[in-house]
Amino acid sequence: MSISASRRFLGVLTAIAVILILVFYLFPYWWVITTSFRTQDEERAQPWVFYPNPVHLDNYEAILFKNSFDIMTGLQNSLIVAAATTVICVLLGSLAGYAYARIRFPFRGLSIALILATWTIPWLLVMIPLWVILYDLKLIDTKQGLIIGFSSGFVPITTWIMLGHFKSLPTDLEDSARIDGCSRVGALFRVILPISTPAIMAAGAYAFISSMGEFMFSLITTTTTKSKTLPIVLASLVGKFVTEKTIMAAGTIIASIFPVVLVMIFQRYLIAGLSAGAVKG
Amino acid sequence: MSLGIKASGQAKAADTVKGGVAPSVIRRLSLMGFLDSHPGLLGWFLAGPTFLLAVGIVFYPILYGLLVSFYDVHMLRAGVPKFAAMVQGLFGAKVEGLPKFLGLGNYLKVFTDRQLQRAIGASLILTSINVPLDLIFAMIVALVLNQDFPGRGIVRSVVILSWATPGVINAILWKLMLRSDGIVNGVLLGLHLIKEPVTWLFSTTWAFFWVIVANLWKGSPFSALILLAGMQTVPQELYEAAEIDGAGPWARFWNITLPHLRYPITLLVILGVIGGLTSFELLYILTGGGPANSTLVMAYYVFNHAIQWDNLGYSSALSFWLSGVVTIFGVLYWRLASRRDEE
Repeated sequence: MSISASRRFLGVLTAIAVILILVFYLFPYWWVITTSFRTQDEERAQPWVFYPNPVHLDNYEAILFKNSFDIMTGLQNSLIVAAATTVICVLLGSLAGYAYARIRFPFRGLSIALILATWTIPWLLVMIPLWVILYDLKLIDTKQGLIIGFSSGFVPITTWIMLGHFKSLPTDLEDSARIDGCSRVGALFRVILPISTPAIMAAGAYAFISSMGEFMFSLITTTTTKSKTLPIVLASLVGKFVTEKTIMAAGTIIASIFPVVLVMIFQRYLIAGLSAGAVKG
Repeated sequence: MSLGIKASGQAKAADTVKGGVAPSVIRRLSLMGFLDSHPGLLGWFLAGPTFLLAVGIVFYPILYGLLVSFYDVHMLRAGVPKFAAMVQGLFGAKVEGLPKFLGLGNYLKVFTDRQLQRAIGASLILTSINVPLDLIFAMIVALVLNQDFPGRGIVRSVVILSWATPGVINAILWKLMLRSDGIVNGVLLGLHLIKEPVTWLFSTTWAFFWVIVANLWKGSPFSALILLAGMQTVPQELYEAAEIDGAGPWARFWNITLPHLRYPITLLVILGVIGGLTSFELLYILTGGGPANSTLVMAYYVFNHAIQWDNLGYSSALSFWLSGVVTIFGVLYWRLASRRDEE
């Protein structure tokens, strides 16, 4: 086979592969998005119509304004827990990241090694006893319990993101702030953190995305709509045939929109962090 | 006392600033001034909360779980055992309300547990199919994305989209599509590939099949991105030279691309094995461990003993066994990753 023929053959092969890849990865999303805009009857119609016509917003209306199947309550719980976790993780992660990047103190190496080592511990080993402890403290089925568990799980990675960022900053700015009379903590808050927005956003995005998608810990520590997060609400609905698929589809879109958009924006930062987190399983 | 600290803190800080004391130094908070002159305390002041949160809330439960694993604990029936009481019980003390001490009994029980053997089998089957399939599929995606074609950026985004989907949403999506009145049946009926709706998740073979497909949908993009990053570090001259020497596409892949990807492939295999052995949420939502416990994998089995069957002691011992195996792979991963960083 000549080189040009082999190139053409590769081109055709690539084109076929691209189409198959697009169909495989896109189909579930195409189906769930279009279904969320259909009515019950349209969804059941045979044969399946490729796109919704006309577009109905009934499912979103039912979720957002009538709170069907408590999906809206779940979303509220998810957002509150994720927001609190994000604030805690970013704040504590920034302080600790700064300390590990710039200050020499006793047991510095050992303590950061222990913090990072918590990544490699399988979650199962921590979650079930933590569930027992929270049960004993009457923190089961509370948002506080979820926030404690999530913050503990996600703060090592936000610390690591901030640590890497602070190491890359030149020390000049900080030095000049201190000559002007700032304390180290003052310089951190007034000078260093304001110019660290990209790293803070990446760390925050990581904590937020992880909180919105967490499943197992939420499953064992929540029992009522007081604290059930959106993934738990949806998971308990999905097996039941009484739940309308169109409503479920809209709920799924609502649950994935925040994490998916954030991942698309911050993908560069997150690939490293999530590959480390993957060890946790 | 506090005045003394304030004065000495400022004096020291002032010493370090050449050319006199700036006026704002006088206004500085006494605590901050004190901390500035004691970096050891400042360090712990800043890092302490994170250390307590990250390490305290991990190691205390692990220690607690370790104690529980030596006892016959049924928490929902008999109440939560106390940490201190279990420590005392370990040394033979008789404490009221303490569950029965079993020593290593829970750990040894695994060798006679028939149901556990089935769970291990299910985990091994799932992992041993998933890991190679994920790699092969991801390799194809990465090879395609490594080609120059119009719209490459869009295809890349689409692939990332499914990676960005939270695992629980992935499970819910497939569960919805696989309902007997779902779209999978709808499309297959429309194409006349099946005559009547199939209840996919009630058949052992098909349940496994769809678990693997759903895993592939969510997991392969990440592997593909890692492989693609590896492919882009291969020097282009090597391909050009090989082409001049008459090597076809297959020979170039086999002799140039693949050897360069040894490291990312090893990492992905380790990560895949860890993910496979600890997978839970997809199975919990998609199959519920069924049909007939055929997809009741190890993590699910541990979960059931703790939560569903109120058998906390045995569940703790099981999770230590499982974590031991997983940790071996975790250590392998970190050693490999850090060795790579040093190079």
